[in-house]
Amino acid sequence: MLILSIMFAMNETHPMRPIEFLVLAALNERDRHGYALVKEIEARTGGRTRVKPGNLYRVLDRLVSRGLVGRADESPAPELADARRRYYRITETGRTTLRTEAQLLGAIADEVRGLAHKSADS
Amino acid sequence: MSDPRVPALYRFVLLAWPQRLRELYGAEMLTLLGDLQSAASSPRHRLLLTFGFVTEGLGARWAELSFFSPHNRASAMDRLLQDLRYAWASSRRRPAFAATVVLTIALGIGANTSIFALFNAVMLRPLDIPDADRLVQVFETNAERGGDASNVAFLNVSDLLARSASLESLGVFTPVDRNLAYGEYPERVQAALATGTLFDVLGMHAVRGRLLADADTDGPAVALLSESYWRNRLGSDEAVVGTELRINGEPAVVVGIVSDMPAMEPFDLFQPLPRIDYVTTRTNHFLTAIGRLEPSTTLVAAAAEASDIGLSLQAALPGTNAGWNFLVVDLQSSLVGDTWIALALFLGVVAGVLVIVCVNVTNLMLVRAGERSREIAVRGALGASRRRILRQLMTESLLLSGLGGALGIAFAYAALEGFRGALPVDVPGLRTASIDVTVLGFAVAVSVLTGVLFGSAPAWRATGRDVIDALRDGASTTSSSRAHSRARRALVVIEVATAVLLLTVAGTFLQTISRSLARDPGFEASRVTTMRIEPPQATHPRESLPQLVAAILDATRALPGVEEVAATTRIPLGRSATMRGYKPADAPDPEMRDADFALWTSATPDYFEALTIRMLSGRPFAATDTAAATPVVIINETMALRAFGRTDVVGEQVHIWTDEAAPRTVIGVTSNARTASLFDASVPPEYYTPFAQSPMSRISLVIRAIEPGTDVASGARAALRRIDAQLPIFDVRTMEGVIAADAATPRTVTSLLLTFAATALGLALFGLYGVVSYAVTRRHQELGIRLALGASQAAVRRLVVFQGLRMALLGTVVGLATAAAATQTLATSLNGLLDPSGNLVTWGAIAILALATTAAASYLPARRASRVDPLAALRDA
Repeated sequence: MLILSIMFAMNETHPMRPIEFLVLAALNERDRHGYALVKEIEARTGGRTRVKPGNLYRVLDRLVSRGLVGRADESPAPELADARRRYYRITETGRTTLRTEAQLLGAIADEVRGLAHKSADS
Repeated sequence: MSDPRVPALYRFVLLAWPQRLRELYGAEMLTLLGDLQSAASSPRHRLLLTFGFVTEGLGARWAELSFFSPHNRASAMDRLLQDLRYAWASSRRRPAFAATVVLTIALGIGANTSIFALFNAVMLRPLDIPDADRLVQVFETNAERGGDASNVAFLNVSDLLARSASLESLGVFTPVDRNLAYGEYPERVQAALATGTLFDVLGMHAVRGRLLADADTDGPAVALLSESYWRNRLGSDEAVVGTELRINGEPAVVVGIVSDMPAMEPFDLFQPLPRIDYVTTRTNHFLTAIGRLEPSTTLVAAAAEASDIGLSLQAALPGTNAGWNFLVVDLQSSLVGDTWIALALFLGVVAGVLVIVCVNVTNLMLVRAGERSREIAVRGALGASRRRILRQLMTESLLLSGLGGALGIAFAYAALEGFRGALPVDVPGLRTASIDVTVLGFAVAVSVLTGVLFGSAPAWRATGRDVIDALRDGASTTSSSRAHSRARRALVVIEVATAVLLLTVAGTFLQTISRSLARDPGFEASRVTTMRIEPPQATHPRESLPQLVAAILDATRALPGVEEVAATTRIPLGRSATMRGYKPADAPDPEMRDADFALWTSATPDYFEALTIRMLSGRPFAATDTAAATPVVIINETMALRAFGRTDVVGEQVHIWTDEAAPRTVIGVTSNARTASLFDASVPPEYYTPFAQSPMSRISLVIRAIEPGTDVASGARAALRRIDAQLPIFDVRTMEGVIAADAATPRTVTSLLLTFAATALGLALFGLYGVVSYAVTRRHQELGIRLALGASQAAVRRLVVFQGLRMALLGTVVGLATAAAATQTLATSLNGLLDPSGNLVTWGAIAILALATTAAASYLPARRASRVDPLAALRDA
């Protein structure tokens, strides 16, 4: 419980929206360009989250300005390089933030699960 | 993005986004939008993507306005309130001006919002089905038969579903009419024979009992009733589930009540699709197939896969599947069909009205800005920055357009209520059109845009003037005011041109429709009533139908007030039509795609008499034309000309190819009757066969009464009960009602168009009046001097009227030229509903109307001008 409060307090300054979390998680695996991000997020959420083209770049803009994401200088596979597509890469800060966020979400999920069990028991 | 025109459009669309994001991510966003567009399943989805991209960009702009940044918020809010208070006060000082502007804007926004609400309901709003964007309709096409999308054959789609990885599930159905008896007398209902999977695909659920299962196909007869039928016709009778009713005379157990079929014609009853020989083929293409895609796939991928499967079926089964392939279309597009053309036309028309509105209000604002130049100069002299004054003036415009928008939304609400009943039923969503969030957003966006459009030019101009010059009030003839009035005159020309364009299009529609309705339909509708019966196969097998029909006709003919009675398989302008191929019996078999097709009607001997269809030569059918006699046929003039190149063809032989084995002898030729549609430019070929030689259970009775207004239906119903109490009569309509129904949609379209066009003309006249009046005020001194130098009052009046007429003439010419191009384009896309030829009279009338009304609008200020007191004018100078 204590950990949870501290983490909430830590996170208060940088509340992360679900879509930002999804973008970071998708970039954590490998560098991706816009279309690949949209498709990856759609696949991860079973088609429930469809990121609109404009919104994706507003999210990326926020993440870049907070130093969580940077632009990759070269594409992961040079033979696939396409001048119109730019690849995005998660930064070390980004990775740390993602980990913290994941732990926080995990802790919340545990809490909720505990509550559910309690109410089921009683 | 293979289409080279697309990127240009995208770049335009990108302008909705704030400059910073555009510079940083513009190219990437466009690439992503392009990728998503290529993967989109339909034109509708592509439209939605673009629409969403634009609104998102505008949203981002809004969010980036300094107004929203926390440190600016307080002072910006203060300034806004201050501006609003000032704007309100200044509008209240000139209530007539403010009211005129608000009302004009309300008209424009009301028209746009109501039409956009229809567009939204049909094109943008998803179907009321869970995950509707994954629903598709599957068709089969055969390039050798013209490549039209046709319904599907059972075994072909079964194979498609089995082999496809993209299709999650697939349901098929076919509509049928059924006689349903749950009480003493049977009732006619719309039924569907369906596979159990259909309910799952369309997200329908059991309200009571259960849905249809696979086992039902082979088990005892069962049926599902629709929720609306159960509630409306059976009073939500809980006892009905599990009981037995009679469908077409045969018992069936009701196993459940199912929620209504969404987005399509509502069926009353569902029965399992029987696996009889007629159904389980690859060649009977009569089933409607609706599928649900896997979540991870796209329509493009599914269509490509279906096409591959179609090709492999062609290769494996050349006997049955040669030339056949699958076509996968997203369900909404398939249901909406061509309606979008009419909607787009209307959007264009109301956009035209909005242009006029903006032009008018801009003109009013220009005049107003001229009047206020002193006030603005004083504010500038006291230290207000240009930016500050500009914002003040823009706030005033936006306040007026906001009030106009609010009133316009109320207008649109009333208009939608008004014309909902007149809209066609068969387009999903049209009748449920309402002012929802999207429509409200549209109305607000249009109001803001209108405010910005009509507010910016006058505000810019007002704040751009030299302060000293304005304070001196050098209002007379500076070069800037000459440019001013040139701009105003140009705007009036645009208004008149737009009004003339709209009037001409509406007038051409009206003329086409009245011409079509005035044309002799070739049959006589007055005093004729039609009604349908459909004897079920179980109690009335096909070969017994001629006797049954003869008995019914005898009983009906004996009724008081009945002059003539006949039976047919198809009434004129009826919804069902069968087309069959034909050729002269001695001609070689043509290729299927080159074959000529004719409408087919099977009728009893008195049919031509009952509908007064004229025989050009030969004889009508006789009682002797029985199944055992020589096969005979009566053809219409068009068919005689097409088949033989002449009309005296009695005795010739026609082969109804490939449906009949033996040719038929022509015993008569009828004049052309417009039985397909009153609006067709030419009458299609049609042939009639004697009912005794071609009986069908789909029967219409045609009864001509001696006196108009006689109720023949109840008599006929009673007579029919004496023959077979289990046979319901349905679809009782007068022939005049049938004709009115055929013309209903074109009539609605035309009256709406005319209303908008008249509004446009009214607004244009109002604009012209304003400009001429203003010019008269400005030329006060000049006119006074002319009068003082001896010009007659009539000469001054002429001078002013001619000034107005010059603008009107130019506008009319531009409007007519645009209309000529527009009607040509529309004629090709509206096929028959609009005939641009021979409309010179309409066009001339519209030109005269435009010029006469504009002359009248200029006359009022001209009269004022001629009464200028020369002495007073000279003293003012």
